[in-house]
Amino acid sequence: MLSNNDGCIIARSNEAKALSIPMGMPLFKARGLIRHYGIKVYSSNYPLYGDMSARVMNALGAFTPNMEIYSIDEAFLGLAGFEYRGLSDYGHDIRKAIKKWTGIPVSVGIAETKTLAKIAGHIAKKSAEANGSFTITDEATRRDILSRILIRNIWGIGSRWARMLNSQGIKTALDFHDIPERWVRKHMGVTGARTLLELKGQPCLDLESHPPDKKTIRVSRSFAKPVTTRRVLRESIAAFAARAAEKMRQNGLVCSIVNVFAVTNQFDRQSYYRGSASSHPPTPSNHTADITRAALIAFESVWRPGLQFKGAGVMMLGLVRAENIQGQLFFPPDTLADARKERLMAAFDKINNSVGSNALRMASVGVNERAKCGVYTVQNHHSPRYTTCWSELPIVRA
Amino acid sequence: MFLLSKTDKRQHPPLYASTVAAGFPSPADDYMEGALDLNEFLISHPAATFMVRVEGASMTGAGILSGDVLIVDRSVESRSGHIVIAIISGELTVKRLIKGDNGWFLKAEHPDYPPTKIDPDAECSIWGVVTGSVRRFVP
Repeated sequence: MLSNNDGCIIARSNEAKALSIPMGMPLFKARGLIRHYGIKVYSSNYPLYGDMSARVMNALGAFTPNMEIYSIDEAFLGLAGFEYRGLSDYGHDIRKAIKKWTGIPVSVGIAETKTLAKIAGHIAKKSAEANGSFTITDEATRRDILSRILIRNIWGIGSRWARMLNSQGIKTALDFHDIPERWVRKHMGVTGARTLLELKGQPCLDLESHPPDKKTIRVSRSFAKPVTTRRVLRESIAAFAARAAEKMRQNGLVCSIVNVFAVTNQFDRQSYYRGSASSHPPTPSNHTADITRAALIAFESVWRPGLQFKGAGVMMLGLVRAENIQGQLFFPPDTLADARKERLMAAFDKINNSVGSNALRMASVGVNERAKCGVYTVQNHHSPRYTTCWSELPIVRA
Repeated sequence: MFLLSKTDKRQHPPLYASTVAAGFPSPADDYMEGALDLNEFLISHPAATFMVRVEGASMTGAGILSGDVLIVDRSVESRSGHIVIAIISGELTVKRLIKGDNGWFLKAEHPDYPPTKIDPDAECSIWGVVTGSVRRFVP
């Protein structure tokens, strides 16, 4: 499966992995292999993946009231209170139900802590014996499993720590498990100690049923054809800024820093350019006009004539909840004007939601749709949006 | 205790920004129940429910026409008599599942199409149970 613009390979079937096609390989480099083995290639189909993920998460919700959706394809389920069902059996029940209801094969890892559950999940996926569900219950199993896992594969141990531990002769997760907590606390701080305790079966990481607020919001695209004109790049940045402002409003966040970046082709080492600059709205804001203005100021420092831009984007930094904005000493808040701006944006979003996004936009986004057609995405290996688009429903023969 | 009466004095009536309709309130207000929702009517298990489009005439006897959208619930256990979506050699097909004296059959609802016996060794699996169908008469 390919990245946004059919640029790189970002997901591989087991068969493709067996041919050692690496993750992230540019498509053009894999062409030979693809032709030779008749490999099927697909563009990314985010509407389908998003819908299938939501179905799986919904179905999982039927098995416990305590659940943390960790990512598009991972969730933690709190199973306290379900011991009477036999946790191992319950794991297999969950796996079978999700497969039957949604068609998606899932792996279930059950253990006393999130860190151990991640390991159990990995075994459930890789070991044929586990058949999709694996439970770490007793001390002996735990020690046996940990002795066969390298420390760098443990959730929460980054590559820097793994190198440090390796240099101390600590290679496996079991080696780490057996060192004194005092040593870990001294050399790896409280985060390291937490991982240690989790490996010992003492829960230190709670289920987060309410996801924490986003730290950054990023809107970026790679271009189908290189962009060389100032107007097109500037209009793209304005469009990204508008989308980012919309995302902030959806999440009830405001930002204090707007970062803009643009890159040329990274495979062309000699002329590679990555420009990045930041600006800030007058006060923390999610108002499209404020964000667009800040982004276009930053754009001026990023733009270089004569270059072929391959991608660009904006990043919203210093996000805080809109109701927690810090007052400014020399600019007392103009409550009346703020309320009006807020109402204007509410109306703006409402119209775009019902008429279609971008129906209302800042003039800086530009009006010439046709000129920009094909600027953003090329998807030549498009799979149908089976579950989200009426004209692409699966066909059944009668 | 005394504070309470003190704060009472400082209370202002709230200022409502919206307009207030004069005249009698609608007598129907107390009976509002929300509009009818077709999703609620057609779908019992949203996470397990998929929609597919029909092509072909073999199920016209069951009121399923070419072009219809079928509602398929994968969480329902299929049994004899259900209209099901089956996968036969990689292709999705809609038929009625029937348990006969000598095994399971996929039966069409049209005289021109003979029933297919489900060979236990062959590649055939039930993908889901058809729980409803939708058709528009005016586009």
